[in-house]
Amino acid sequence: MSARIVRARTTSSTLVVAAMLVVTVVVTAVVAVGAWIVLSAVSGDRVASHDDATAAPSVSTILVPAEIEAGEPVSVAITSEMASGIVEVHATSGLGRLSFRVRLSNGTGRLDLPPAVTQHAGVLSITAGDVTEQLSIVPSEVAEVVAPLVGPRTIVADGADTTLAVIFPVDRFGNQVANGTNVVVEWQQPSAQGTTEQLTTVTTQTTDGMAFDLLTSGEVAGPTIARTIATTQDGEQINGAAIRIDEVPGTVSDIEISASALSGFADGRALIEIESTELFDTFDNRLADGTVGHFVFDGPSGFGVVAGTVQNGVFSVELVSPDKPGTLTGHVELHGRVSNEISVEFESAISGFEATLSQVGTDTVLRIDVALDPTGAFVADGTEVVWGEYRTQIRLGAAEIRLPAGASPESTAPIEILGTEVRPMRAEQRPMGASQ
Amino acid sequence: MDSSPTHPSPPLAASLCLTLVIHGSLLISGTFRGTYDAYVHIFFGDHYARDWFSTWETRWYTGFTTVSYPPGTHQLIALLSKVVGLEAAFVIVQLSGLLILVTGVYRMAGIWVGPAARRWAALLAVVSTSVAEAIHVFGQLPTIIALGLLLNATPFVDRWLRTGDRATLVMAIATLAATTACHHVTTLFGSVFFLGPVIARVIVDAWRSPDTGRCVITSLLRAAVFGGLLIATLVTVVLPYWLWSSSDPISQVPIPHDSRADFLDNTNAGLVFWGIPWGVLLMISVKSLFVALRGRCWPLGLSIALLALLGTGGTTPIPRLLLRGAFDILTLDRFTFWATIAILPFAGVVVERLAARSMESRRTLAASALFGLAMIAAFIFTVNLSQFRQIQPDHVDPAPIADFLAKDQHDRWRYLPLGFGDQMAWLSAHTTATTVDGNYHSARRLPELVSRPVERLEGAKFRGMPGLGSLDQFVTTPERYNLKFVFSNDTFYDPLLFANGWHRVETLINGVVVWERADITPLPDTLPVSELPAWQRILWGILPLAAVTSAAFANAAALLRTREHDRGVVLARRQILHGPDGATLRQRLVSPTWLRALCAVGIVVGVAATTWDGGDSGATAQVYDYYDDIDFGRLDAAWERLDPHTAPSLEQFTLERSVRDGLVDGYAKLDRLELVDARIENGSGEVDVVAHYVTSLTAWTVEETHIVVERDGQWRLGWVGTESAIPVEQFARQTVVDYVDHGRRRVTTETSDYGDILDRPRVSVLDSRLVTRAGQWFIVGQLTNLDVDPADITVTGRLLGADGTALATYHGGEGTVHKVLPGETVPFRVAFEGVATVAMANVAQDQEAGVFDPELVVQLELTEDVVSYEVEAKALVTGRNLDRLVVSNVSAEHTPDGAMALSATISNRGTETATIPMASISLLDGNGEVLWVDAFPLSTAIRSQRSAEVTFDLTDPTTLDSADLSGLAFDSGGTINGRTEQDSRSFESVVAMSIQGFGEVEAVAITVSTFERGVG
Repeated sequence: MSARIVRARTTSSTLVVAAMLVVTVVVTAVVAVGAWIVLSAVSGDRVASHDDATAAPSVSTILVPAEIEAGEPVSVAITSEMASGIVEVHATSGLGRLSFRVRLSNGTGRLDLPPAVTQHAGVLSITAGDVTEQLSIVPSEVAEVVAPLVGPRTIVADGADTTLAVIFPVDRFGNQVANGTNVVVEWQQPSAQGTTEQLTTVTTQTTDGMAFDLLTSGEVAGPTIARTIATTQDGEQINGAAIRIDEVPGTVSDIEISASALSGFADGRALIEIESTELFDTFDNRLADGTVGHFVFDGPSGFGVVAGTVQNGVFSVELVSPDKPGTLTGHVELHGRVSNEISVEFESAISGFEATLSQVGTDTVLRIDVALDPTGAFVADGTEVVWGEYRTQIRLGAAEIRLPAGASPESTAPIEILGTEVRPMRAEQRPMGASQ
Repeated sequence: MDSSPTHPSPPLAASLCLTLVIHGSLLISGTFRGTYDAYVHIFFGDHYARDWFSTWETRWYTGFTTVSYPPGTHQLIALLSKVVGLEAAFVIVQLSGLLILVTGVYRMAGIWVGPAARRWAALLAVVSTSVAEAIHVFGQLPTIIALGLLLNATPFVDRWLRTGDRATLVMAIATLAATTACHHVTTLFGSVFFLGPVIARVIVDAWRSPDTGRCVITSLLRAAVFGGLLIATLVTVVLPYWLWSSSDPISQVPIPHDSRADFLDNTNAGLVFWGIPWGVLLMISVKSLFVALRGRCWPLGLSIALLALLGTGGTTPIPRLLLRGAFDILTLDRFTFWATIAILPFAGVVVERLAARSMESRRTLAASALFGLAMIAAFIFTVNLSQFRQIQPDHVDPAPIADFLAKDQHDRWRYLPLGFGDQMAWLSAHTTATTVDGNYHSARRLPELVSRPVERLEGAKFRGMPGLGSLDQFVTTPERYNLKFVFSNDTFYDPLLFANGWHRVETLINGVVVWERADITPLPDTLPVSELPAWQRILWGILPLAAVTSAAFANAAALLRTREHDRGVVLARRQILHGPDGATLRQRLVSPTWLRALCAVGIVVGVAATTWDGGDSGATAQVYDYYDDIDFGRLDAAWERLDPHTAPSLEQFTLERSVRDGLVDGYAKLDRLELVDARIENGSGEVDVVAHYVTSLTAWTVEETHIVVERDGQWRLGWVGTESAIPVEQFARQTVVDYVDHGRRRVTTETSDYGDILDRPRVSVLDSRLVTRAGQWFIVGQLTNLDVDPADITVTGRLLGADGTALATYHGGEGTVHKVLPGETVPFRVAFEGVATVAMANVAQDQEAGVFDPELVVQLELTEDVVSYEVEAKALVTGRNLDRLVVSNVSAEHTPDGAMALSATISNRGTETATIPMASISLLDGNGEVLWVDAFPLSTAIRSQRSAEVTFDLTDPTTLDSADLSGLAFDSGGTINGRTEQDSRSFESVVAMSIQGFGEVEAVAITVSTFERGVG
């Protein structure tokens, strides 16, 4: 008896739980699908629907004009064998389809299409029942010149480079105007200083909705303005936007350079300025700022290249003197042109110095004393002292390198300062801590 | 063992309250923000919040299917996010998961131990370091909830097997369905380790019953029914996952994971994946396991032992032997995590007994208090682990980046975050813009990603050269991925970006630097979407959440059912565990002697660890330590290692270090230090070392000779030389030509005005050549900017087959000077590289074995012979990165091995520090045409008005094979002043130095551009 009760209770519980699970799944599914549909609808997705079915009367003819101008209203006449009823009329163009309902009276109906329907040039198909007629919409008068495209907008003022202006005149609805519409292109090019700017006027006509003109560059660098004007049949001028292009200098014609000094000390620190005369291209246009050139030189320390740019028409670079005496010769290369060669003589920048090796405890100490330049002054602070693989700098005419015992270089290795080599002298051994 | 009036144990409600208070507070305070995975789950939640029934996510990896991860937890986040936002939703779901887990431990423990022990088990779960680590360090969510659900299912399974109660079978299946919905792997493997022991014990019990045959058969039949339903549930709930998995199996190079490491060798991994999860439980784990293995709990005991063994990773060969191929795919820390959870019932028994003894003995009370304090301390340490050792970059506010992407239609291109850590997922959740990277590597399908052991491009540097190699492919050929923007939160990658033609646009207010590559095509308006069939998407959107809801109902229903049965089971269990000698066993078990011994060992080990300074204090050890200190910025410690006789003052030393910058000093990470030679006699000598650095550009070695000297019994490093150069002028002035491109001059959201789009500068390819070197294809050449505007050039090379089809396309990377001055001629180099496949898999293994070759490139695998090539140069106007350095004192010398070395002085005459000077050296033939282009980044920065002496080892021309194939060049060059660059190469003659005796090479041309850290 109790077993049956337990079994009954168990079965009942199972059913309850199973039912709850089924309900959960179903409710979740319904909610989710519902939410999906609602969200889809809210987000703008179309929910499938069917067109209204209408029992339309059959249409015999549609009468429309063969051609109208854009924006002109048009009247559509419909005849039917049925005396009355409602005819559905569709106006279809490349932009989509509009539907209208026309009530028949005595077998005829009339539909006045508003100007908004005929604004776009092209073919408009009028369909009612099984009958379709086509209406051609042609552009109206030119009303605007859309900003002309000019490219490239940077050309070389060498009398040979070209740029192209493309013009798109449109009517008041934005339709490209008919072929043969007159378009005037004005090119206002720069001219030599003190003379009137050069104005070139070209009249062209539209073909397939656009007109174009090719401009050959002048020989004077500067801004060129392109203006476009279209003309209506009534002679009214429709102005377009002005576009600026730049005619820029070409390659340099000649380079002459000079150095700020023709001699100096080879101290690795003195600055020599290399400067060109004002640089012009073949047509006497001053070279554009930023044009890169290179001062290429060979000197006592070896080959070198210094890149510089043209500023205010002048190419200049700063050159650090070599750290070994000798002659430095170099030239500027720019746009493939090579300048004159210049030479600068560099004398030794050091008259002499003393190098002393001493032992401080187990350490080896190299001391450089009184390094003087040819004028008798200390060599410049920062001048490098090289002893094998170790280096230090002069400060107030002196320098020191301290190495523990066992470290290379050999104590006999020469010390080099500004190309001058000296072998160190050995001083007496001093006790640890005696050195500063 | 059982609860008694004199031995109170914490009620479950207390544990749940503690969970809410402790973990709730921590989660609300934002610990999850510094974890590894939290933001990934939030990103998935964001996906479902945006489109519930979509299974395609375009924002990562150029698109991936979201059915690659069970959606249960993510859909819960998505639902809640509509009310409280994404982060709060994550916290709520995570906290709910914890409550489920604690409850699950309590209920699972009820099968195996008595009421008091199960309550202690629940409390131990709350303060468990493994749970704390999983939540507050790893940010695991699905695994936590799934394990909680699995544990909650165990009593139902036990009841079904014992009684045949069909209601409990339904409840079990419903709960396991939810487990699958959250994390299918837990159902798969967790069933083996948690449900397997339950089934085994029921069968064993049946075997021992008087009516053995019938009971065993009944149990087996019920187990079979349960197993069948479980498999059906596992398949059904995430059916789209299985279908996807079978049609698009994961085939990737395994990503190294430290949980597979040898924990004795990699002690950090051992700490994170073994030491911390076990934590203080280690002290009682042996005893707990002993309890488990005695009596009829042995099935779970064996399971724990196996889990613990698998969790040791590569420390022993056993896990690899057991798991075979799966060893390299699975993250083995989950086994340790499961072990620490499975052992909790028996740990509860031990704690229960300890608590009982504490009432009787002060020493036991003290030991118990010590144990409790240790648990709390370990818990606090674990949840604050990221404070002790930073595992993620500092928090990055994603809003400025999202704003940047949203404005000016920047989201029409892909972006790539670098140095964001796992916060990249949080960034992705803030935008609809897409990235080639992602943070869920199982979904990757791009060959460039799956073929290398790189989890994320974002953190490529943490995967060494394979990682950087993978990143290199993306930044060299960004056009392929419509990749235009890089958001860099780590300057480590700056050299790589610069070398490949990227430039900085701006620094956002969150400190992230925006890099841009010019001339990248935008993404098409409609991206390819690979949604699953509608029925699968509906299933994916409904079934997992329905499963979770069903589990909630099932467990609620279970609560309403009588507890009498539980009580009966518990009483039976008590008999099993006690045995006739229960009292004696208890006394033996709870003796705190072992506790004291463990504490003593711990103290000794701790003291030894803190006082041990690494041992070797010799000369070479000092050199090693010096480099280590420098690498980690411990300048004080590094200075202490210098010879006091020659060392500068600490202030001078730190000052000199502070002015050092460049590729090695500013952007490299020391990989290893190699001792080459040590010549030490009589207390002094020299030590030659080679420091191996990793930079984003290449591996870098620096050879140094250090003087070492023994002073007062301590070895010290000698110090020679100071800052080398003093600038000529104290106050230098310079005139420069600067540029600015306004972009859109009008502030508008409309399309750019025609007039705002600048002409492309005219560039002309002077010459080009197709060469092979060591089997790799290159196109090298030089081009000139004919324009008056500076140009940002893009060079594209194509290898063509017989019918003109492009066999391979690549872009100019390193070696190409990308920003070109007006009238300047620069070299370019297109280095074709194959998409790594099997070769790189081998590389990954080689690297682990320590034999990885950083110079290794993946060769192209061409389907047909190359018969010609094309090179295309195009440009946009730029005003950036146009500085050039001066090259002087150039001399070429043959090296002893017959190669040629070029020595030069590179001077910076500009006003900014040349942080990473980049020398491109062209080897030219007698006609001035390029034979080869070498790229040499300089290791050190050159400060303004200063110089550096460098030596370049030129490529031996005999190693080059000219393909002698015709090539076509496409450029925008034209006629200038009636001359074309073709009919007269003199338009821009190449500035070059003649050299002799170097094969075909008759001249070299050097261009040194520079990356400047401070210039945006």
